[in-house]
Amino acid sequence: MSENIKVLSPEGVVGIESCNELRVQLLQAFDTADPVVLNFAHIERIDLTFVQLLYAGVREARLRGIGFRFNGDLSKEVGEYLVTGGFCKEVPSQARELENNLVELQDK
Amino acid sequence: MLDKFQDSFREEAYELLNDLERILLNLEDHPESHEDISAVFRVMHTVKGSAGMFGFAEVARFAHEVESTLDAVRNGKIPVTPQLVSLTLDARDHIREMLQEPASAGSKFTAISDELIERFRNHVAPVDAPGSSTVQAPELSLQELTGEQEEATHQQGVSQVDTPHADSSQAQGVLSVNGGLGETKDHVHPVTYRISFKPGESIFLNGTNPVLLLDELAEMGELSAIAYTEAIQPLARLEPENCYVAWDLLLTTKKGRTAVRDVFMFVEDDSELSVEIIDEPEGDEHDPEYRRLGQILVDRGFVEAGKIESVAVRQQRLGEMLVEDGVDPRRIEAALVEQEHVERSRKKLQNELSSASVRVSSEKLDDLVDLVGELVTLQARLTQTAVHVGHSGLTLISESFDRLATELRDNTMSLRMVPIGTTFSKFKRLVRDLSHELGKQVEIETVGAETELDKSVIDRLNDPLVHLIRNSMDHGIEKPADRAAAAKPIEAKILLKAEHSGATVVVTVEDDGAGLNRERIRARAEQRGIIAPGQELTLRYRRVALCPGFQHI
Repeated sequence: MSENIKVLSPEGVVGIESCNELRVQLLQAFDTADPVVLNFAHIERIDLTFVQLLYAGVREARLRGIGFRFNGDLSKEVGEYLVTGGFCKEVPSQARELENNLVELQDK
Repeated sequence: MLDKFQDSFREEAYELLNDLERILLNLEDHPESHEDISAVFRVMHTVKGSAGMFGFAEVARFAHEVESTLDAVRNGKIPVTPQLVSLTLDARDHIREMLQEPASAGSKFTAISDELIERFRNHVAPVDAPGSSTVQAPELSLQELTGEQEEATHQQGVSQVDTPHADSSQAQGVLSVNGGLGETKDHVHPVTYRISFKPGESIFLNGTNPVLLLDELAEMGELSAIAYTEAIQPLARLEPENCYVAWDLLLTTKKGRTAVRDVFMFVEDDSELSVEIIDEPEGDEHDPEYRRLGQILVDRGFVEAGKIESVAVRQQRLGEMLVEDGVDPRRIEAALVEQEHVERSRKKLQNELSSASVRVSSEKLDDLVDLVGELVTLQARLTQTAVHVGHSGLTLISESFDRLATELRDNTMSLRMVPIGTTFSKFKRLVRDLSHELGKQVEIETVGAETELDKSVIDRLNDPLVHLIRNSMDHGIEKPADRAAAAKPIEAKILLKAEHSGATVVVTVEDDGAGLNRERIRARAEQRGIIAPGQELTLRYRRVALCPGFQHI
């Protein structure tokens, strides 16, 4: 069975200014694809709006029964931001670690 | 073996009692200082528990009674007054006297102890509400006294669990939240704050990134953050410009509460914020364990105490059982993070304190200095011999040995150097007591307390300084009425100053009293035949005044 994958690759600083645009892209992707992959490789920095978007995306995907995967390396700034904010216990270097962490939190 | 422990206890107790004296004198000037009130209580509490443990039963009994009064002060039931300070100073002196005797000699102090206890009870009684009982300590056995100390140590911090000490622990918590404890000043040892922060939904709109506030907190000390993300909406309903996250933050820092709150200064109005001290270890805190998970959950209102009891009968981990019973796992994780954070901070502090200094008896230091003295003498002989023999190899060794011996001598001498402030603080008490005795108002100011001197020199300075200060107060400083008549402030001043002057340290005692009466000195000097009748009395008259028989001029 072939997968209908959609990969989203935001770049640079992903924060309040670009968040709504990314939210719309994610919603469209969830409407048309499964799984949806978010590529972190080109993200330099983030803010809280993006973190909220990740949680919201995981919840949305779960509601729809769709796969939502994270991919790529995380920049040091992104990893540290997630620890400072209390979203991860240790600085993640891979998006996959973050995906597990977020899902783990929400499964509890 | 017990003797050895008793000696250690005595040394520590003397230090505590010196601290107590200093704090009480400060408290007399600042009766509203919650920090000092708590510190006085803690000293008495520690003395009581340790005295009981090391067999000083009478000290423990007495301290227990005093502590009860101090607890009433701490809880705001009775105010700090000069009378209470005097009484507590008397209690402090009495404890010191008892400690100077063998532990078994306690019974000979019972009468004095009882008299002082009665004075404490009388002091408390008038401020009690009609019909209520006075603050009177329950009778406790030695075992109960020592056991109580252990329990109280465990309960330190905020606790609402049903224990006999829940009231006092809660009171401590209330003080921490509302009082001046570490409000603006930094703490001596790091304390742990629990900060609950729920930003307003629109916080992003005024340009604030809440995680940067957390970053700012992290720069103050050690921060653990627990993010609550339940309120984040599914993507379809999410308003990206709204903030849905809230935090529980645990910050261990020496910073005062004001500094911590200031981080939230610009967002506080639109946010829900509480800043609470949950752990305030003392320098002598030895128990790295924090409260149990169940206690934290109950304290935070996440779980009812009854639920903890009902699940505790099962042979499973408490957290797992509570999750099975429907408790939010994030709340349990928050409690676990809190437990880990506080225990980690306590261990860190304990390690820092234990490695920061070592207590060595001054006798051992004296022995070391003597040995080093002999070594230096021997080294000088070696140098001479090496020169005499003219052996280059021996000369080389002698020179290296000389360098090492010099360094060793300097280091050894530095071990005996102590700040003169340790002796200065005694004189505050002297001036206070003499002021009351003589009916004079005198304030002592000390300058240069940090100036270091050899311990033996400081010990020898004590008596002359006592004499000089007594002389100032007895004869130099006028009665209030005389000062008023001379248009001087009623409150006199004594300045006690230590300063370096080249290789020496100059200690000065100065007062703003009437000074030396030149004519009376001349008359006495003539009478005693020190100067010829009619001889001019030059500036040296000050020195003349130091001759025997010139006191009281």
